[in-house]
Amino acid sequence: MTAPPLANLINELSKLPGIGGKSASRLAYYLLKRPAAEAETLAQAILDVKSKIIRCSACNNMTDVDPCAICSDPRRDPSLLCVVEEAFNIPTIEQTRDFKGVYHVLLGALSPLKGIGPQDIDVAGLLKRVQSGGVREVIVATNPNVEGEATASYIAQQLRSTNVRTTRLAFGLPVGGDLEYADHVTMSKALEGRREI
Amino acid sequence: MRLERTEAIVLHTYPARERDKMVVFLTPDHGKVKGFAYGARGIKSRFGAALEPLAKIKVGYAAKEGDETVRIESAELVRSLFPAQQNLVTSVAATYIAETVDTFAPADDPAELIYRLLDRTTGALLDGALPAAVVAYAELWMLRLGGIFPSTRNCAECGSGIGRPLRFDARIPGFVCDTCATRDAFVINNEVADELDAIGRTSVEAWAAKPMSRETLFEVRSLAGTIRRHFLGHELKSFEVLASVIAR
Repeated sequence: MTAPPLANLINELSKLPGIGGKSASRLAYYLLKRPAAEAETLAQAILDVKSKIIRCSACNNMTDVDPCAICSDPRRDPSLLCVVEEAFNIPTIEQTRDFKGVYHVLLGALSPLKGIGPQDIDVAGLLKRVQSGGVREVIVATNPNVEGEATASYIAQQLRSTNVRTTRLAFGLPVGGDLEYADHVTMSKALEGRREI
Repeated sequence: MRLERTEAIVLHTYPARERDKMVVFLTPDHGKVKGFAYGARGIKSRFGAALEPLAKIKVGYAAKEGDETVRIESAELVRSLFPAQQNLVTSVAATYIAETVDTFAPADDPAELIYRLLDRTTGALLDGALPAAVVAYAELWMLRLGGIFPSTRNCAECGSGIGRPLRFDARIPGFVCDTCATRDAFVINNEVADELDAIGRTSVEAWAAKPMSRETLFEVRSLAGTIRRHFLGHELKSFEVLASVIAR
């Protein structure tokens, strides 16, 4: 019989994505063994995130100041707008250090199975930003899967009436991969996105 | 441990753990199968685009006796719906068809006819057939294969033969004769009734290419929707999104 406070912690942890009953139990027992201060730091970090993190009113990024650090950075180019599905996609692009524009977070992708249709993602906010002027290119960086592609084509369709250049992140062969293992969809996308060298 | 190698069509995928995917696929011989594809979400995944919804694949998997899920060892892409799914309406229609099949197809039982239906309808979407027509065709056939679509020849109440115009009673739900028809039964337009018959003897490509008014197509879909909802007791998750994109 597990003591109720411990069972409660296991139950709460098992609600997290990717954490099953066994992992939750392992994490709970691990926390139990650590010093109390460590558990308090973790609990405080969770509380801080919930109380201090808000959405940037310009781009929907997660931030503690509004507008976020990216939107308010004068060194960034606001005419270059990169559209991502979720705020957690931004650090992946930022890691490249190649992108100096700003972002727009859609807060999801079209997903009929989850009941997410065009009205449930923030394409309206994107359109508003583009229509207010100053944007020369929109880079659609949604995931290279069916939902991401449908979202990208919907965005492209919505932006057609504006005269803004709309581009899509390149698809194709991964660095370090081997041509002989590429399937025909990946290969045809790579050919489609070829460039001069 | 049983090793299987078969043709399959991917119905749905869900993210699992860090880089894995839970994949639900339909096979002709074993019906619906659920399996883990380890590392499938990684950029350098060996599965590539093979595990995207409605991809037709040659899949190899290991099934342990008593386990509900299998381990996907290999997936070779035969045909991808990815190019067609870049169109919003086609993409949502494909998801809707996949959800319909997922709802009605049996697990661990042969499902050759359902497999053929899914194969032909996804093929039609890829060839550019009208998505709303392909959806209606797939849904009606799925209800027929599931033994849910009522007879259009015999009264659902008394079993006597019925002629035109057809009368549909949504409470049963079924087609009823003049005698059994209550005030709730409504008359089905003859054009709609003709299409219900035509679906049974025409290929999806031919049916979707037929000149048909939007109203007739809408009526066929509505009828299928009424029967499906009555049977399931709930709406399919992708229905609302499909309705909103087709109405655009």
